Amino acid sequence: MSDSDILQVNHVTKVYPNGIKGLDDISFNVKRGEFIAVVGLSGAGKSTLFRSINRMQDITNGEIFINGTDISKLKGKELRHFRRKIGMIFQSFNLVNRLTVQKNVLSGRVGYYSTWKTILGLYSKGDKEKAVRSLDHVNMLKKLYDRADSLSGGQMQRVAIARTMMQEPDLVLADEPVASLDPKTSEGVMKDLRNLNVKDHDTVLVNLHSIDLALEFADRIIGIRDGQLVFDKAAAQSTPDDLKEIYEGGNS
Amino acid sequence: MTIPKINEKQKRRDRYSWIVWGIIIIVIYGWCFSDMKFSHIQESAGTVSKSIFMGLIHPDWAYIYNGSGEDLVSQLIMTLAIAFLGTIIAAIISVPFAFFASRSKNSKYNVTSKVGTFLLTAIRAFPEIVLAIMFIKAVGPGSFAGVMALGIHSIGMLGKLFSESIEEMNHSSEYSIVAAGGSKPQVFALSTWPTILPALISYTLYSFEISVRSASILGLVGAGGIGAPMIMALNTRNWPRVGIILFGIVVMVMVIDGCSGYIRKKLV
Amino acid sequence: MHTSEVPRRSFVKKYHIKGMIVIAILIVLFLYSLKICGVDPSLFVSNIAQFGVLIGQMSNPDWSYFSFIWDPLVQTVQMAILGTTIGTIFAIPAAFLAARNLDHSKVVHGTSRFVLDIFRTLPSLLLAAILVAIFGIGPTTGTITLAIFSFGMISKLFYEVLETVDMGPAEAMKASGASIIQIIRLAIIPQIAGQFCSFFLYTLEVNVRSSTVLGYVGAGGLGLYLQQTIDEFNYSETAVVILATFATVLVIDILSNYLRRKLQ
Ligand SMILES: Nc1ncnc2c1ncn2[C@@H]1O[C@H](COP(=O)(O)OP(=O)(O)OP(=O)(O)O)[C@@H](O)[C@H]1O
Ligand SMILES: [Mg+2]
Repeated sequence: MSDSDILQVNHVTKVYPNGIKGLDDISFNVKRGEFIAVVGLSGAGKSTLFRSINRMQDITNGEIFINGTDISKLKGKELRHFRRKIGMIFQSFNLVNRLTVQKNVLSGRVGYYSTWKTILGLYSKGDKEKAVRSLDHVNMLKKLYDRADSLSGGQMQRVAIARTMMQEPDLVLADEPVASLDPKTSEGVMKDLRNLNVKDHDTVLVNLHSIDLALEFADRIIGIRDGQLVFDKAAAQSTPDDLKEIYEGGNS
Repeated sequence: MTIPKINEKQKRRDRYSWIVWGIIIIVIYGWCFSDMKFSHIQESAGTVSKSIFMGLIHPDWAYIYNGSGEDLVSQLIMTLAIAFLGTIIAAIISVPFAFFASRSKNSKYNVTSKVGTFLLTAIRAFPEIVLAIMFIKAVGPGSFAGVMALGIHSIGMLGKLFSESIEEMNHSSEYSIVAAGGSKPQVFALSTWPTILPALISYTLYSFEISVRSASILGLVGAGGIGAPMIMALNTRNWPRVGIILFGIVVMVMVIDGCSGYIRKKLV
Repeated sequence: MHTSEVPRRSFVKKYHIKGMIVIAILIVLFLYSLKICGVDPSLFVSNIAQFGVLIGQMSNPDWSYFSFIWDPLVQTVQMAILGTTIGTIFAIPAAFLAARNLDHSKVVHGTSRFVLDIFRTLPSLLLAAILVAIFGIGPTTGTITLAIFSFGMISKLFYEVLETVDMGPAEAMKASGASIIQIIRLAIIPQIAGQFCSFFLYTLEVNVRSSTVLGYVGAGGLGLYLQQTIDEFNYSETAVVILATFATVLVIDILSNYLRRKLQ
């Protein structure tokens, strides 16, 4: 284990209550500041991996270290404080539709506020300014006071990225962030994610179905099939044929 | 070629089941008619309905408002007040009830949810009139008894509607708050509550529409509202007054339905 | 410092003025209602003795009384079945008149809707109280009440279903020269029969519920005994009436739910 590793996944297995193996003895390390694309067929276990990394679900076997801490031991307040430093971006954006963009973005700071302050919406001036800056980064400042459900899909995902920026995360997990967006909007959202990586020096793990986007944006590509790691190479050394192998290997 | 055979069998079974259902239906209706002790319609029916009709076209306009507090407008306002209070009380009590009942459905032991569902069903099976009679014993005759009766009765309905809407709600935005490190109360305040609120308001309005109708009969048993002058006018055969009260109730209910429907449409 | 400008909010939006006004109005209405309804929780305390007697007797039902109420109980169910059926028979043509998608003039469906709306404003017990004055005491009046009530309810449920009907098949038939009766019979009924039956059963449920109290104003059935036992302060008998109501409603609910599930 080296100090530059932000994430270590050691022999992790996840068996769901119904007996399905979501992850099967998977191991890899991630260095601070890397931009990694995770690719694989539908049902390969990509979402399972992401949910395991920020403890949205517990793993069956193995261990996951983040910044050297074994996350499986965390609970209650410790767990919530750990999650503050992990940004999560979802395919379905998961904004609170009926709230304004501003409130959605501020909700990224939820881990730093007491319950009653959240209920009353008493966010600090600093955080409100930070929300303005985050939205400006993703070019959505003009929508500050609009309701989230009045936005288009691509705009919603941008707001979700701004919300993640509020967390000042060490690690960003983006689970199919562009799967429901058109190619042009996808490109824009991927650029925003790369900005997180380049400007804010965040480590980004993004789960993609598009080989082209993976090759264009990622430093490194990890392939998963049936819950196992089947591919792990720098993007520069990967060819489209290599990647097709990840998808097709299972059938032959 | 086995498929046609199965179809043939299926067809025959269908035909038999139709015959069976037909017999059951005939038996049920035969029983209803044969066993029913139909009373004869009273001879004065024609004259009385004519009087009511005359009352309807020559209503007792003077009754609309006379400042006594017993007039039509005051009594209609009282009716609305009973419905309003009953609905608000029911809505406030139903919210925690519904969250409690629906949350436990996810866990292994849904005993609480089963108990809750049974309780709600039991409450709904009590006609509001029966509740009103019981509350009259508890707090004396008057509008307060009506408020209590409607409140309890509406919990039966709102509790069910609320817990169904909680079960059907989209939980996706909750994940993002959890993922950012939010505690359970924070997830509730930032995501669950704003997401569910329009549905709760819409159902509360719907329940109010129904309560307004119910409140207009509570007076028949002495639990306040327009029902009391109505039954009095009927008993004293004061048809012009029956006419104006009927007119008042119809207008009130239609206006409330219209407003409530309009707001509910705007909510979604 | 920002690439674009921070948007501004109007004063009304910023301080949620609209929401505040709505909440203020609700609070005022609430307080006013409390006042005119004479809500006073202390009344519970002063009447606690009488209420205690009521609850005490009610929790001791006099089962022997059950033999007296069997007949009116049966009558209640019969009233509900007949009333619902008669109401349905009249509701079907009314629903066809009120449906917007079957082509007849706006005047026709507009007026029929308005008339149906009026029918639906009256709760069944109120209707019963009026009809008792016209037709006299007894189950006939109860049946007529439920028929009128069902008519209002079912015609609305039915025309809403009719409006969801796919008119493709009907138009195809019309193009090939079918009569309106043929179109209804062959292109519309098959699409809606299941839902119609389901709504019929649902209305039956509602009617069984309300028929148990109609007797309170003299319209036949169990409700008469509700009134009698309460007037005579025989709460242990009232309890039997209530439990019988409860059991009947539950049985009808279960039966009708079972049938509705079979229909789907
Ligand atoms: N909550 C769950 N309970 C049971 N099985 C699950 C659950 N979530 C996922 N699985 C199973 O685990 C396997 C991996 O699922 P996962 O969602 O991780 O796939 P994925 O790679 O994200 O697929 P996709 O690209 O479609 O999102 C699948 O076989 C899936 O059916
Ligand atoms: Mg997935």
